[in-house]
Amino acid sequence: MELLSAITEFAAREPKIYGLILGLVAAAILASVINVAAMLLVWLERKVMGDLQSRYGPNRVGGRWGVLQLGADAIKLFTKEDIIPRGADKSVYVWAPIVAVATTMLIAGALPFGAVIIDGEVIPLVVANMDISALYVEAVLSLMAIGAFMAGYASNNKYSMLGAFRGIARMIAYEVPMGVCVISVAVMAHSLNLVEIVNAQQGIWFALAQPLGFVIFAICLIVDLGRMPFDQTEAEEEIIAGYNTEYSGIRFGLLYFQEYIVMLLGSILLVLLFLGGWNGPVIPVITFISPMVWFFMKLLIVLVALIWIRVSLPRFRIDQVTDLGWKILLPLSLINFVWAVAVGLYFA
Amino acid sequence: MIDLTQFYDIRFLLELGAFSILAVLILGFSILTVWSRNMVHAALYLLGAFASVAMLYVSLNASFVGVAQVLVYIGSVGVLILFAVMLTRRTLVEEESHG
Repeated sequence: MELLSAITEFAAREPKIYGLILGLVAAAILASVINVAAMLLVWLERKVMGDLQSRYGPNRVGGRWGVLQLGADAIKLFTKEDIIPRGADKSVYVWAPIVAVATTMLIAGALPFGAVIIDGEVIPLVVANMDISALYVEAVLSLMAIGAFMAGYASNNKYSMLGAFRGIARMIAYEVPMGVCVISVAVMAHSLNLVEIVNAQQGIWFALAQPLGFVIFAICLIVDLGRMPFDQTEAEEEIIAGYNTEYSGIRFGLLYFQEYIVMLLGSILLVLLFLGGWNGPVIPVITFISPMVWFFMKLLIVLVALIWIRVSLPRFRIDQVTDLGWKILLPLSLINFVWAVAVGLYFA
Repeated sequence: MIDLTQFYDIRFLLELGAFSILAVLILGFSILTVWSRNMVHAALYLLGAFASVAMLYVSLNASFVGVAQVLVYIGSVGVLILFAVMLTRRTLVEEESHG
């Protein structure tokens, strides 16, 4: 208690320094939690894929459910030989995984990871509660293509180069409809703050208020995450493994984990923007964490749906993907924008 | 005459440190952009300079300008520059060490 009062006193006296220390501590916690969650996600994906394909999935390491499989995977990636190809552009090759993971982790700072109820007040768990966090997340999502481009360019391999090209072409095509969908949500919520957007969905989820926008955003999100129907950057049958063909050891591990980190963060973004975030009836006995329960239930459903889509749909060709983005999703997203403005004005 | 007592204030030193780091980053990336012989490297250094300028905006409490900088300059202009560089002749790109 004495410590707590000392902290509050310090916070009142030096708000800026207190904010800096708090931000650094929160960033450290966030970085470790997200990496562990991404590892759990790898395990979840292997297990759910196994179930959907009528096989066991990991079931040897760590008991019947294979829960220690992720640790074994991580140890394997750490101890493998780290090879840098002779013709590679060495500095870019070394920096590419770091840039990829760093730009992805930037998203996490602005996302609320659920909320808790203290004294009847809903307190969102977010590190940087900016006024424009939705726009910030949208901007940072477009940076991910740069890490993939660096990896593909530096490998000095024509398949890697093709993967990098595809990544950038795809990113340019899908950034626009995705941004228009985020703006539509912001118009309806009268705010670009993700917490405010969640609070605006207490009556009706935006997935129901603008179903077209939800579908477009979900498709664009799968494209941005580079998951199965849209994983042309690393299509195994066409270009070996795309931009990470030449990578091995821990550098490959970073690029691999980056995909799962962004899958987790993208699913959280979808839940926040369209599926009502942590809104839901208060559960009586566990009032304190009842928003968390709703939030993680929705998150788990979105994640399993992503894995389900990956297992059940075949891959598109790259020209079909860019066609879909420019010729269908962009006009539809503009229609959705007009709809959002009209409905927003009507209910304003 | 500079008031030296302000250097005893930790808040002032923090702000000065943050600004100095950003200034060095911006100047360093800009100079590297001009000096680099490899065009892809130059484009990547330019992206670094853009990102540092975005951080400078955020440190000045202008977060919207910072985010717009990221969205427009890094997300669109930078990627377009990378595209344009890749479409130039191979000899220009691979003059040094690469390939």
